[in-house]
Amino acid sequence: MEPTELKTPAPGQVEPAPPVPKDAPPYDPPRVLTIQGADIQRELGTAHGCSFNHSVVGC
Amino acid sequence: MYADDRRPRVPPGLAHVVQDGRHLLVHPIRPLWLAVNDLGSAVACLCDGQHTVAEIAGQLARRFRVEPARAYQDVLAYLADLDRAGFLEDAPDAPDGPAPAFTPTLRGLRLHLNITARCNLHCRHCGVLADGHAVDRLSPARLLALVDELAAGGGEAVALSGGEPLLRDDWRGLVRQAAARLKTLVSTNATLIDDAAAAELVESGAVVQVSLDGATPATHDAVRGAGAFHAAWRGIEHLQRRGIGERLALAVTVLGTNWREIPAIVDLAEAQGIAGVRFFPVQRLGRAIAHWPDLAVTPAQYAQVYDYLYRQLPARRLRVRVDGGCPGLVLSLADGEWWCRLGRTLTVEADGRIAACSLLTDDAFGLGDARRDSLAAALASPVLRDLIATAAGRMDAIPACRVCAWRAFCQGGCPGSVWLAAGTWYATDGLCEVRQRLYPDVIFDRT
Repeated sequence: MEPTELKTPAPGQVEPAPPVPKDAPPYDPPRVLTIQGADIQRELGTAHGCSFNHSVVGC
Repeated sequence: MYADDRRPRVPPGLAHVVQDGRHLLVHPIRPLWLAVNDLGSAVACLCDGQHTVAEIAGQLARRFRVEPARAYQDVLAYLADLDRAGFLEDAPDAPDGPAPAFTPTLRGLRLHLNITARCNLHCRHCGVLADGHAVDRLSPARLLALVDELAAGGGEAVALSGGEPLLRDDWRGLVRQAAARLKTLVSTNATLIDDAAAAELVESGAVVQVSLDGATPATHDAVRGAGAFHAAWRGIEHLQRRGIGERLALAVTVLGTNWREIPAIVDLAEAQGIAGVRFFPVQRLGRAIAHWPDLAVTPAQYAQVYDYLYRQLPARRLRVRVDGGCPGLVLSLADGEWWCRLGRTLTVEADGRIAACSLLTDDAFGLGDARRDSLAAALASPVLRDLIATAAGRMDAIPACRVCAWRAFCQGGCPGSVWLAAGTWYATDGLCEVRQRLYPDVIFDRT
């Protein structure tokens, strides 16, 4: 799917109402899908690539 | 809540990462990212501090032929989410980025203690030996004093390694007393673990991490010497018979000779009831330097390894815990937090040299001599202070990092491995492209 492009009007500009498009795309409201970085990080493990770091197994 | 006349603004330089029609917003300074839908990305582009909420909502209403009131409410709700996530400029308490430096202390410190430089194997990739310092100079009393200092200061853990730590006659007492005070890891090739040694290790409460560099005798022994594979598994069997259970892990160095066997190593660990496997990239250090053409792993090979470990493997839902060990692959950091443990880790070599990191053992980076210096004195060394400051400045000094969307996460990669590979701090670690692909991949896989 191509990214949606919205026109960027000049600040405060009142745009004339455009003709109603016959091919208006389905409306999927702007949404945040995920922010669970900590959950993903737990799955990824540590970021330390040092050859001598601590174990994945808890002491 | 945004009123009609508010003009929301995302931080200048906010990165829009688009991959296969999916969108990520990545904060230009703070370690923050958000997966958003197509319209979420488009609306973020309009949050430039110039357009009001009403203007943005009006565009949505016209473009999608939805009720203006509905579009307005949708934009408001989305902006509230952006605001909560720290992606609007007037979000409270937005700092300027990671703290440039901190004062190292014993609290939370991890100590890597090489209790002997002797080893019964002669591994081609060993970074500890082959550097002219293979002499044991720390007495049992001094080793215990270091452990005591760490425990008394609130240290987090100690890893006892070598050389092969079980070659030291007094290893039993050291392991027992360390494990009684601190989280303790024993890093061993396991070839010397008989039933009695297994009983000692299990009863101590320490975690045992066994080095394994192949899924087959041919691959493992090509690096570690003939017979090493079967000897290691005999040791593992002794540990398991004595009930090591969840305190047994494998440590695997990813090499040019074994990278194709990574899935087989994971399968082997799963089949043998091993609790965890950690993978590490090979470092150009010690004996590995002489064998580098054979041992080095290319970025394209790492890309395949990490694609398996971080993307394919999770879907298999195995019991064994696997840590892929890609340096700098981090997606969750607090403001001011550094993933690199420089200043929060010390390495003590068997000859007494204290280093900031197992990768930075050049004499130029020496922090003291453990025969006479305390850990606290090493942490107060101006050499360590300078190393921390240098590492903290890397991502602003490396041109590739300055323009990278993920700079606040990988923070320029592993400073030690860059130093070993390039002899400079101000280069990337060769895994930039691998990580830049992995970041969105691992997020979208889980979104």
